[in-house]
Amino acid sequence: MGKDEILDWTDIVPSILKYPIKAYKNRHSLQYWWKKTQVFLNSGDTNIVILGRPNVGKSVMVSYLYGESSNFDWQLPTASKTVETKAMKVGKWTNIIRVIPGQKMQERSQGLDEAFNESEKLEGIIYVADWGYNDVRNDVVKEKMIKEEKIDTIKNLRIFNLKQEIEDLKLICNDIERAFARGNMPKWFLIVVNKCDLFFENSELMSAQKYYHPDGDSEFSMVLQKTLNHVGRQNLKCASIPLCSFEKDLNWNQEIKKAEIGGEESRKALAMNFFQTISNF
Amino acid sequence: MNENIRLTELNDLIELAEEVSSNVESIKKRYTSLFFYFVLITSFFAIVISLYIYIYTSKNAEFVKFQYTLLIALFLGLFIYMIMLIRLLNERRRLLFKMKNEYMILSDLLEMIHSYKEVVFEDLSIVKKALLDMRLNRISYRGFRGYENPLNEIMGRRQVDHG
Repeated sequence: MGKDEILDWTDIVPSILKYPIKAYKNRHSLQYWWKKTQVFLNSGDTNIVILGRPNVGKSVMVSYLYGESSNFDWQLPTASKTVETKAMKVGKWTNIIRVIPGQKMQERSQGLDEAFNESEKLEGIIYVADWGYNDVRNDVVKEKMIKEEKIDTIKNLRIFNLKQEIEDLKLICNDIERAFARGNMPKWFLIVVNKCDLFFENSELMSAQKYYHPDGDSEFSMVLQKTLNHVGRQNLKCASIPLCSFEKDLNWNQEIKKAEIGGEESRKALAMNFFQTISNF
Repeated sequence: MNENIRLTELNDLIELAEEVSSNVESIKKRYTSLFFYFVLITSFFAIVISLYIYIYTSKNAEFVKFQYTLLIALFLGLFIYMIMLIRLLNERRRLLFKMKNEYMILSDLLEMIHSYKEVVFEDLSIVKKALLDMRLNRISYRGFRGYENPLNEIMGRRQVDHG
């Protein structure tokens, strides 16, 4: 090769155009830093909203996918009291992700209003479920449930939780249908079945898959299908995937359900599947 | 009968949460006005000092007459400023302690109400559920920006509230 050979075609363009070309080449990085600035200033439209019942593991999931939970000083968060905002790379582009608290409160209402009514760039919804393996944070209520409400086994707890999950899903589906009526609907709806370390054994995992499948015949699937038929399946892509963001045994009235997922490699594989699924949307 | 007891208990919890949330808001307002007073008196004192420096460095003979009067006023002002500052700091400490206390109660109530609500809701009519949900939607559990959640401090948890 000769000394004067052009190594980069941008060498032949006038120098004034080099900067826009350089900006275009680095557009993904620029967009990443722009989104991070927006998150810092707590501005910017929501691209992805994370919803779900209290204590299903929304904040833990985001911490895990963001890489925070592998830090030495990371500890399990308490109940979310505000909307958490993060900038996360999904595929090549960065999205603003907002985690809405599961409990009914002013901040949850504001977060939902911003995501469904004000944001014009809402791409998708991640609905976090846990197949009924939802512990109760408050010890007083836990004791009351065990002693007075006879929710004294993990089986009864799951039945109770799955019922509540259906009610919660109905409210989310209502919000989606209202967004559809306003012409501001998200493009995809992903059901993330968290805490799969508690049901990673083959038959249980298959049952969970059938239960949360958008085309299944479970009560959950029926509620989802009603909304999909209303808004149009081609307008709202839907999928469900398992995930394990934190391995933890479930202890309910001295009955223990062990977390068994087979190590960090399995968790990483599920996380990769999560990012792959969103990229495919 | 059992239903009524459960509903009464839930109502009591929600009422307490409403009261505590409103207390937290009023404490935040008083804290903000405290900060405003601090800025006001500091600015006023800074103006007096600047005026003295200007008069001291001025070559105007008429101003020199007021120099010593102003110096006495300055020392008096400094004394009053220190007293006011100590009082403001004491008030700030008192408010922070109160805020910490109220916030701990609010954090406990958040988890209790929402766990218990799911148990009670099974037996309620649609209208009652809607009314309770509306009341809950009005309560703010947000902490004081820049102030650590005292529950996290006590339980050794990392602060993860982003607001």
